[in-house]
Amino acid sequence: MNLSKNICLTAVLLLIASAGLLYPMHSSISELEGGIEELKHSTEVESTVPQQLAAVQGQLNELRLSKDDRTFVLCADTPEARNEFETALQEQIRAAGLSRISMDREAGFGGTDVPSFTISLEVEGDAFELHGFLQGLESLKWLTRVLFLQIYPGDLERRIDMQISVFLESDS
Amino acid sequence: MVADRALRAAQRIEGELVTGSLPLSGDFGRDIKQLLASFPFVGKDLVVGLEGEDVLVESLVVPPSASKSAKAVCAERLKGDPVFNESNAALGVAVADSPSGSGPSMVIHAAVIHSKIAQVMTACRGSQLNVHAVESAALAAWRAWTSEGLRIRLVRTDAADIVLAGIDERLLFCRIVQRPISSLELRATMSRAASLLSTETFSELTCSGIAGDELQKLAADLGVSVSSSEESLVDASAVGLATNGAILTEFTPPEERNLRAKRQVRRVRMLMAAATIVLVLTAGVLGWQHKSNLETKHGSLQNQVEVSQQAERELSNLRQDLIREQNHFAQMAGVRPGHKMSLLFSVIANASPDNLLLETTKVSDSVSTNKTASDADAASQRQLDVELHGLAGGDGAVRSFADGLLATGAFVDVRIEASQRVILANGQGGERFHIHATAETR
Repeated sequence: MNLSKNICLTAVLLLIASAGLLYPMHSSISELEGGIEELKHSTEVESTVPQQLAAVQGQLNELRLSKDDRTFVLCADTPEARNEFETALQEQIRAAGLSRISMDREAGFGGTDVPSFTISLEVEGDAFELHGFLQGLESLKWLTRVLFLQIYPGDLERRIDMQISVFLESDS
Repeated sequence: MVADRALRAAQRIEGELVTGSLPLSGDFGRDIKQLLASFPFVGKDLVVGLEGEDVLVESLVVPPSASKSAKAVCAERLKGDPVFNESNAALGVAVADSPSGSGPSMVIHAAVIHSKIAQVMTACRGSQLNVHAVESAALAAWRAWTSEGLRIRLVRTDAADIVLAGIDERLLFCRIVQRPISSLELRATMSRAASLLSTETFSELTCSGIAGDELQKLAADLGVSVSSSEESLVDASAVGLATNGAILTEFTPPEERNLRAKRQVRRVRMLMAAATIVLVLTAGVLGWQHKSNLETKHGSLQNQVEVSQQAERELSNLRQDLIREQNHFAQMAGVRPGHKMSLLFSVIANASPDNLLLETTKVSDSVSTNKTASDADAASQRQLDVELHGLAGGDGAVRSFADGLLATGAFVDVRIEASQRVILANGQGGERFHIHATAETR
């Protein structure tokens, strides 16, 4: 084999060896460059997110601030929240001096689209006690509505039937 | 250079000429090692020159009309020679055109005994020397120094005197004679050289290794200008071997040529491999740096994307929160009563005179039946229906109560549904009534 063939063979072998060494690096560099292009595109697409975030956060803060100004809240739709309301209601009955005869709870919509549950209440007491109870009910943080109120004949102590609708939070 | 009785060498190192000489002891390999150890020669590459009894050099002319080639003519001349015949000796032939251009070809042929070459090569391999060429030392002496034009030289070595003639760098004539050459023989040799070189005579003779009285005597005998070469040029053959130039007759054995070619290939391969390694390393370092930069950039972008995605999730959550809060807000606004039941109760109580007893009071909160409102308003419009049953003493008490209720402004409509005269328990006349009042609310 003459000199030129030997050198050519050596050159080819060295070329192959060099390619074998450098090609993996070239591949990983190409892969990284591709990844960077994709990421650049993603960051360009998502570049408006911070502004949107700030805007929505502003709206939310504004809404929450205005909500904080309101006296009432909707009762959470959980057993614990309902029990809490009933406990508060019984406390108001007791504080007003009314005598409780019965108290039932049933689900319903209280004449509106908003979900609610209704407390049917039978109590006994005079007009002042009833007035005090109604004031106490209106002072509770929960949003309620007296759907029905009936005072039966009697002396000072009278039987009173009430249906109180308690409005619930809804995600819809 | 290998002579009959001595081993001589020369090397140019950074422009300085280094020479060395040792007498041959019989063990050629040991002599070479001793020579290399005794003198400051550098490297392992050498050109071997042979002189002495084992080397024959002749010059002749081959007419253009000759039927055989110059090499065949030379081989023919040596056929039958007891020493330098074809089986004993290697033949080297250098052919040059006539200086006039149209005359016969100038031929210098040299023959070297095979065994001598083999002996030298074995010794060189034993000393791990790389033999680049093997040639006649006498012919190499022409390269010892340069001159221009037609020149003739007399070189004295340990073994013989050599007469060399040529033009510029081309050696065209060589004759080896026993030293010291006589003036007569020198004149004859010069004449023969002149005739071969197509010139009448040489006007100047340059000598090497001859000085002093002998030089002057030669000048006087020959009647030409005789000069000496450079003073430092004590061994023209060795210096010629150490000088780059065309080798006229090479006797390097084929196996040594192969070895030389292999060494050359190996050297080129090593150079290519080294260059490739340097290039690959450079490319690798640069590539690694580029890759590191890209990885850093990639990581940074990934962080940015993660932050953006987190912000997007947060945005989505916030939007959901906002929608939920807006819904709650709207729900609360929609269901919050437009009245206070305690206030309504107070209004009714305050409006009732002392002579009026409310036996039954019923308040119903229901969707408004008012048809005048628009559909959207009607959906949220509610009304309170208040039914009041009771007894009133005296005339006009019921009417007064109803008017009083209406006057509060809390009711849009107050109607006395029924009124019936009755005798009260105290015997006085009274009135049993049924009032229906309507209040608008939301």
